[in-house]
Amino acid sequence: MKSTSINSPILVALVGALLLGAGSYYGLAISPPEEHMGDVQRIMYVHVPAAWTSMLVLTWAFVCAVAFLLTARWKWDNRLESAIEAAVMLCFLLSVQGAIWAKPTWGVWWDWDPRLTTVAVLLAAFLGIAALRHFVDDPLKRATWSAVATIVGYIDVPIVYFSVKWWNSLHQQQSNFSTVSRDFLIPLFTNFAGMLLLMIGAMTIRARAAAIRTEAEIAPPPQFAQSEIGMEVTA
Amino acid sequence: MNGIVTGGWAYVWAAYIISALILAGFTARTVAIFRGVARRQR
Repeated sequence: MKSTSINSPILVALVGALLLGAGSYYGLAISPPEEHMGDVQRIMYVHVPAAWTSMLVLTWAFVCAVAFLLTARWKWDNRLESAIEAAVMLCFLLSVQGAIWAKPTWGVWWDWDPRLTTVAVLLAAFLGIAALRHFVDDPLKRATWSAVATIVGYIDVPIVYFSVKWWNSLHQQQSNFSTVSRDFLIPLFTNFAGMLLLMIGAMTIRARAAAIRTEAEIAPPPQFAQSEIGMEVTA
Repeated sequence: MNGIVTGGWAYVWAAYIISALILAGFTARTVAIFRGVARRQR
């Protein structure tokens, strides 16, 4: 029987939300404005945590996809389903935050810059995988196809990360933390911890929902189960 | 403020409010999906 309680993941998500609130307050009210970008740099405290969390969630999706293909255990497909949905949301969030930051600093909402383009490809790829899962009814085909598609889609993740180093990009390169002020790092890491916990909580809840549905999908029909297993199955 | 970008606060608030709405919406949708699935299986 799958766990039908979501009290623990809700608690984890609430702690994440509280940390996000505290980190955002620090970033908006306590941290000083950055010398060159001024106040608009405060977008970093939500944009960079979203980027880090999305990379971790995508890596988790890759792990779940490989684990399902190797073990054929449904728990990995349930976790994959939750990770794919979180990845789509985080890539969308990342793109929206990036556009809002790009307008005052670059003068445009969007540019076909290597970093932005590779993130857009990632969003489109995982949106496609989420759609694939939605339209395939057979649980085994759905799990196998989406696991393979996730592994193929994950190829874009290191390309996103290294795009600012490999090509001439408008997007700045990763900063060296030793050169970043403590007043910038506190809201950055607080929000990262908050966003990560919020996603862990939400993804656990979503995986449990997928587990309940999968259990019903793969359960043998009542008459078949009764004759094969010799047990009485109640509705 | 010494920055070269002016009028930054409108963009900052937009980014924070939209982020909060997207994250809250995603979490609420996730809980709603769980409750819906759990109700159907009962």
